[in-house]
Order: sequence, then structure tokens, then C-alpha cells
Amino acid sequence: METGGTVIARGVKVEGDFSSQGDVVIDGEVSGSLSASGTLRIGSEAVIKADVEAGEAVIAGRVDGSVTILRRLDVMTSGQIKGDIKAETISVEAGAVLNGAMSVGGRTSVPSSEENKAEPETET
Amino acid sequence: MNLTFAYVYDSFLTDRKYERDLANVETELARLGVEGKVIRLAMFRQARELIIDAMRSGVRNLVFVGNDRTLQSALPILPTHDLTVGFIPMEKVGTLGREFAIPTGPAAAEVLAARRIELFDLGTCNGRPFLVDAVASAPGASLSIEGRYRVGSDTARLEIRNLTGTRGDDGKLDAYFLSDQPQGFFARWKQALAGETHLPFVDGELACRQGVSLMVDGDVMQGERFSFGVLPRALKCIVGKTRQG
Repeated sequence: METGGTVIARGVKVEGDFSSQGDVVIDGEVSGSLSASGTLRIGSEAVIKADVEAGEAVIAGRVDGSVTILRRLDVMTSGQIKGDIKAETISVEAGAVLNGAMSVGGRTSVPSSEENKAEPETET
Repeated sequence: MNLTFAYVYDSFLTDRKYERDLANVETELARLGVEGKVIRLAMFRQARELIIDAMRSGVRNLVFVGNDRTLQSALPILPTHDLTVGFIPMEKVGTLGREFAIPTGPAAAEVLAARRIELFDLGTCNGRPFLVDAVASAPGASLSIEGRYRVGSDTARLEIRNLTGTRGDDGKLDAYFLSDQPQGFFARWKQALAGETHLPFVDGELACRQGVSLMVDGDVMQGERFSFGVLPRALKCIVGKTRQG
């Protein structure tokens, strides 16, 4: 596992099970699975074809896969998520495209070291 | 003479322009009580045998006098890494003097005499130890990291760093894919270099069917596949007191 300061710049492609214990910034492409215990930032030109798990996330690019965020998820104007979303809190800017079931509020378990806890889902 | 110290002089120091500085270095070493046996590099095979002989006679501190290449190119031939390594840079240009906080020329003698020691990781490339970095000029090559995922770029160049710009004893290598184009929605969260991918790792494999040319601590290695690893805290080095480890 990597620790802190991981950056995947534009033009770089990652395939496989990518995980980090720190913060991650992605402007390139990831396919497979993606998890970050810290803050995950997906740039406007990033393309993610993977299920995503993170402590917090700011998504401005495209994600094809489920998104599970422990705390706060921000989806920016240019963000596109095609998959189910689960987060404790969520903020969605006008223009963002979301296509999937959304579960917001309540505890969400995440990256790697934590077990999934069954909690009643709150639909918004 | 201090029998626990030996000084390995690079062959380029025979140039007369280094004569005065070398004399001043030797004067300082003697003044500080750390002058020792001198080994002059000519052929590496001979150098390895001379180093082994020196160790048999009690040398425990091996000081490389020259430039970055003097120390880096000696790493594969050191009979053991259970030596304390020192460095006297004789040229201002270079990385290791700055990394180890060792001044150029005679002023380095004070650092040696103080004998402040730190441990550094060594990277390995196909078993060859390296101290600073391995740089690949192979667009299209991919790096497999810890058997978990693969990273590649068609345009960026790849640098695998052990020491430069990173902590020297974190037990990790750092892979950088570097592009010249400014980019990044979240550029303000990144370091100054634009288009920089950074991935810390412990072991990995670089592969390219067309072949890869790698510059490993200044030596060229060519092939289709290279395995990278880390020897954690394998090198004992004398460093300056201003080094921020």
C-alpha cells in the first residue's frame, strides 16, 4: 500500500487493484478497483472504470462503477457517476450527472481495513 | 594515520586541476586525525580487491573522493554493505553532496571527523544496487507494482527514485511518470512540477516488448524486463549535521 501524496497525472493509465492509505489525486485513467483511506480527488479529465471507495472524495471526472465514501462526497459540475452511490453526506453541483441508486446519511464503512456494517439506508 | 579509514580516489582526480584541492583535503584530514590509506581507482576489478584487502587490515570507514559517479558506481562492487561509507565531493555539480549535507573539497573533512552516521535504503534493479535513481526512456513501457496493478503512459518518461527528493530510509522506492505539459484540475494540491505522477512502492517490474534503456545511477542497462526492489537501511553513510533526514 502507498502512503500519502499519490498522484496519477493525465496520460497515465492504471489497471488493477489500486489502493492507498493516504490522499490520492487522479487526472488519468484507472480501471479495476480504486480505494483511498484519505481524500480522493478525481479530476475533470479523469476516467475511472472501477468501483471506488474513499474516506472523502471530490469528483469532477467520469466514474463508471459504484462509489462508497465514508464521510463527504462532492460531485462537481463536470462530474459524471454511473453507478450506485453511498456516502454520509453529499454535495452535487448543478450540471453533474448521476445515474444510479443513492444512499446518503448514516454510517458508511470503507477502505480495506474496515468491515461493512449493515445500517438502515436513507434515500434522498 | 588512522587505520580505520581508507580513501578511494576516482581516476579523474589525476588531472592537475584537482592537485591543489586534493592537497588541501589531505592536509585537513591529517589535521583532524582521519587521514588513512589511499586507494586509487583504475580498474574496478582491482579496486574491489584493494577494498577487500583494506577491510582485512581493519578499515571500517570507506570514503569515496570524486563525484557522484565515484560512489554510485562502487556500490555493486562493495564486498559488503556493512561498512561505513563517506564521501568527499570534489566537484560542485552533483546530487549526493547536497543530499548528505557534505560540502565540496577540504571542508568535507570536518564532516568525516564528526562521523555522524545515517542509514539509507538502496534500490535494486535486476539485483544491482543503486542509490539515487533509475531513469527509463521508453514510452509505452509499463510498471507492475507489487503484483497488484500496472501503470503506464505513452508519453511520459519514468523515473524510479530511491533517494532524490524523498526520504532515504522509508523502505520504499518512488515511481514518477513525468510529463512536460501543464495539467491537472487539482494542480493546487500537487507539487510544483506539472504532469507528475507519483507512486510509492516496495517492489515492481518494468516491462516493454520493444526493450527499455535504463540509466541506473549513471550506468546504462538495456533489456525487456527489469525487477525493482529495496534493501531497507542497507547503506551506512557519514552525513553532515545540517542534513534533514
